Amino acid sequence: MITGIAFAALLFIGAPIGIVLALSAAAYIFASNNQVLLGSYPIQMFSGVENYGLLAIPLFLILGEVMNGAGITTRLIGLARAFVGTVRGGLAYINILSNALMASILGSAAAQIAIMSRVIVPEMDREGYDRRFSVATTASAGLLAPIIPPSMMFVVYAVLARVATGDMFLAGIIPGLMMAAGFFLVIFCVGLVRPFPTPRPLSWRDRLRLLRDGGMPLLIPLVIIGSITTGVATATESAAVACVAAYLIGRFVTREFHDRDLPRMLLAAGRNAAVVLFMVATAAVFGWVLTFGKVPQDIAAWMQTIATGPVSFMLLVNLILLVIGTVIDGIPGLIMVVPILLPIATDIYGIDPVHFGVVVSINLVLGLVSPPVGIALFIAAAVTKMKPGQIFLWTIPYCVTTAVVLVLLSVFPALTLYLVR
Amino acid sequence: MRRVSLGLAAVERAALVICMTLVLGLVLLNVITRSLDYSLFWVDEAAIFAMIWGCFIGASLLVHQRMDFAVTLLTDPLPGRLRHAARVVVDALVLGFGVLMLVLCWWWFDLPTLIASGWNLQTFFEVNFNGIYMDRPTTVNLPKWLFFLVMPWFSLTTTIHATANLVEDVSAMLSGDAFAERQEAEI
Repeated sequence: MITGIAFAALLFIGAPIGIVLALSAAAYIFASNNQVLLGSYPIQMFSGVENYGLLAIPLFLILGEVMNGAGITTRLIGLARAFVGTVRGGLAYINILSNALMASILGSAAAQIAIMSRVIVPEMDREGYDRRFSVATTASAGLLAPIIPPSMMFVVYAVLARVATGDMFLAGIIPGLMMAAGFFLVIFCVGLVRPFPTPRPLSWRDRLRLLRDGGMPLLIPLVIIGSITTGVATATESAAVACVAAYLIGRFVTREFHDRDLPRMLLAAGRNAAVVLFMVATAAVFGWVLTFGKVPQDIAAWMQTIATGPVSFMLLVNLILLVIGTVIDGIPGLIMVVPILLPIATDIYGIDPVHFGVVVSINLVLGLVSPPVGIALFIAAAVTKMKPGQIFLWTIPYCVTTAVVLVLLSVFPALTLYLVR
Repeated sequence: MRRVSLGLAAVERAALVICMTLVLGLVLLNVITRSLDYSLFWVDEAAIFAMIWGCFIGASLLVHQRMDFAVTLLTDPLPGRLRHAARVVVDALVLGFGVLMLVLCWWWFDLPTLIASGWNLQTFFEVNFNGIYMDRPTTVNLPKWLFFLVMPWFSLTTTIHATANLVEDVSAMLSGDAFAERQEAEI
């Protein structure tokens, strides 16, 4: 009880989430008079991040920085343009497609949305799209980043749930494609109601040039997948191999990468990795204390009175997470809910931990665009100088589509587990 | 205090870049040596330790830069003075965490008992059943306490940064000045 009060008070006064977790754990230890646990407190924190799978987090963040420095992002958009061509509403489809391509390289929604808002929204402005629609589409398409592998959210979940990172990556493919297809459908329907501007003509010569320029950067997702499937690298190591590929492309193909920027890139990646890793470290202490206090058992007992089977449990979890996701979303949300809900899902309802992870991740990702705390919405709004409120209404069709995918996944676990088995 | 915090942050930035270089370099070294059939068994664990050092050094730097995930849903709409007060409370909480960690690390490393044991690690272990100096990593051939040292370092630097933040925010609140802006985390 005291831990719960301490947790809520610390959270809502605006303390950093890592500190909230660490101090709530300490509050429990003092309140329950278990001071003997304090002896293991620092080593629990250290051990919380002593995990091979977590290496993927700094590595994928470094990859994102190198790719950006190498000018690969703009070329991927060009590639998507060459594929989609001059279809009416083409740029909106290009937005989704290039986001899906980026998602197959980057693992972070916020990083992707910041990059894409800067690059594709001005293009859509020039062609005469409603800016609210452009920004909402970019922010929503950014949600593909944590679902289409590789994904930092999946890496964190894999560590928390002790499942293979590779399995999580495989399980994200079909749901990610379902979301992308759903987003295409949204654009098609919006186009029926409010006809999109006619796109600029694209000659075959231009199309070939875009294909040539974008072909090389497309090697990066191929390097990631290829190095894993051939056994050259593990899922974690594939990011390091892709860093080398991105560096070589930036240095010798696009010639936009400058070695002098490398320390700045490593620092930015290190700082962002520390944000996530420190939360994982403190979550380890928090989870350890929760288990000691039998908190998951208490919540499980309550949930069993409402949810009678795995499907109703998953739907209940979705409902709870949608509410939680409006306040805490993405990786912090994952770190807070997984230690409590996962044991209930696997031990009582027999749900596959990989399936559970995908559903929970997509659900929390949805929170990235939902007010009042929607980081994706805020980033897209800040970059494009819009008000989050103006964009939110336009993100609703994408949110509804994601929610439909979520329900389908909850009811049909095979959609996530098909590629894993 | 701010000057000490600034100096420390410069050291931390450099250390963080080194840690990230080590993480990337060691993981690549592992891929290369394995494909040459000459695996170095200690590389993975060394990369993990570089990441852990990066994690805690970076976390301390985040305190200095006031850059971390937080739920500011209830504090953002507060009127100026109350919002400032909430910020001071958060500073104090982070400082409290830093001091708690310092105390816990002091107990954990237990230098007085180590000295009383005549620096004999076996005697130290028999006296208080604390395995910190006996623990060894699985593959890296160094005592693990060397890697654990990041914890007291993190505790100390976090305490210094948090004190500097608190002093700065309290004096800003008393003088009615604007606060240093909080930065957005980018994950």
